[in-house]
Amino acid sequence: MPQKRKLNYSLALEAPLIIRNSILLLGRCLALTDDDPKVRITRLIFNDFLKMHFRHYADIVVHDEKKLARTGDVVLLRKLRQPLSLEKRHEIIKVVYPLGDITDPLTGKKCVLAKYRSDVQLIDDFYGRAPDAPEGFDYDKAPDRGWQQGKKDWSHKEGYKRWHEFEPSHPLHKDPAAS
Amino acid sequence: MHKNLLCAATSSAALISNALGSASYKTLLQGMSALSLQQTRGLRDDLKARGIEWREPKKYKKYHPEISGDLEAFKAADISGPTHKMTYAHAEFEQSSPEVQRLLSLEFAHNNELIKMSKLDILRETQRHQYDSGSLAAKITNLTVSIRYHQTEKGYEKLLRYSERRVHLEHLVDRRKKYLVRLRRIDYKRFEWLLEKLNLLYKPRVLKGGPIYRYDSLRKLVSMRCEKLRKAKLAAYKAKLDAQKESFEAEKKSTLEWIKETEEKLGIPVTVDPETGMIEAPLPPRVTIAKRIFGPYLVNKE
Repeated sequence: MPQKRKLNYSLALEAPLIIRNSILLLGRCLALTDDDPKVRITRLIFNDFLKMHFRHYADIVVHDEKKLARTGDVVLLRKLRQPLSLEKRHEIIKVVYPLGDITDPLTGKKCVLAKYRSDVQLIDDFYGRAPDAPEGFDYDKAPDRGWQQGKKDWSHKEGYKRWHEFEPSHPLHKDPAAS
Repeated sequence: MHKNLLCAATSSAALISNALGSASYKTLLQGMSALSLQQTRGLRDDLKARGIEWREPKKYKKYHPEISGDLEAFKAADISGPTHKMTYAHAEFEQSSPEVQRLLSLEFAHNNELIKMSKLDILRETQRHQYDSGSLAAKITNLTVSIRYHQTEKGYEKLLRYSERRVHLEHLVDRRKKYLVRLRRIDYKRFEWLLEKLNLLYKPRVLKGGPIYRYDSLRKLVSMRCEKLRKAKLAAYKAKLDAQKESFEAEKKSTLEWIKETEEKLGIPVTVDPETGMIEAPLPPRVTIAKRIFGPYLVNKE
């Protein structure tokens, strides 16, 4: 008979219920802060009163030696033999699903939703480009993710409401992450 | 008792002076003045003396380029060119006289025609093929042009006049954001390319909402100042310890050598290496998951 546990609906108490003693974990990377990255782990937990499963999550701090973590990527975690600190007990092994750059495991081709990129390109070529139009987007020539990070793409930061008018010399003056 | 005295002090000073004497009455008044000072002096004035002052941020509308993320102004199409309808009869338009051409050009056309033509100019770069107007990239370009038109002087005049337009424009900005989020999730390479092409700034979503108060912001500023001080002190302390490193290591080496010598003299097993330090027992090898589960069933396969 499994032990009946009383659920407390606070995030700090839920975390051990979600993480448990599992050696390997799958999670999604959150926006980076100055320190180590955070990973969100979701698990379905059964509610005894409603007789239903509900999705619960726990955000844990992880050790990232190779600096693999990027926001939105699904990563594989492993439990450390000796915890580095009270919070840091897991490390990132590899990136399983990079965000917006997924490969089909059967054929090894790149996908856009449920279509292959090559198929999409084929249809576009069939219609053709407008006369005297400049060169469009090409998957092969396009660089990998991250060339706009910190320039025009600020999704790697945590968004917040602007709360103070900083001086022009301050690094937070006209911060693009604030809105 | 003390409370009663305080109340009485305010109402009738003479009675108390008779009862307690002049000296105690003076001390009471001093205490009262200190209390009143504490009440008036706030956190704001106290921090201002230390150089911490809160300035309220400017509030912008959602369609303002500071919030919407438009780094570029509206690029209008060539006014001398034909309208969108005339592009189908391109050959006849070129044959006609210059006066007729001017009448049929964008100069005398409705504003919507100008927006439509300027949309088509940018669409040529971003669309997938020549008939594409429904892909996410094409939708985003169409929306950016119409948003940027309202950020010009001419467009802004109408915004001030009609409230429906303001609401509609907010919807447009929201919709563009929605499409950008979707494109980022599906196709990151194209998303980044599009940001570069359209000169757009992608801001992260604000998860922690709520109003902004002076007191909370002041607390943040104080904590930032404390953090700065803490880091400076830690760096100074680290530099101080680094300076002592050489002398410490020399001392450590000499003591380890002395320990080794004495252990050898007494005939005890040596526990110390003067170059590396203490000799520790190595950790046991890691047990793989397969071995943990199927350990008893595996037949000596390494």
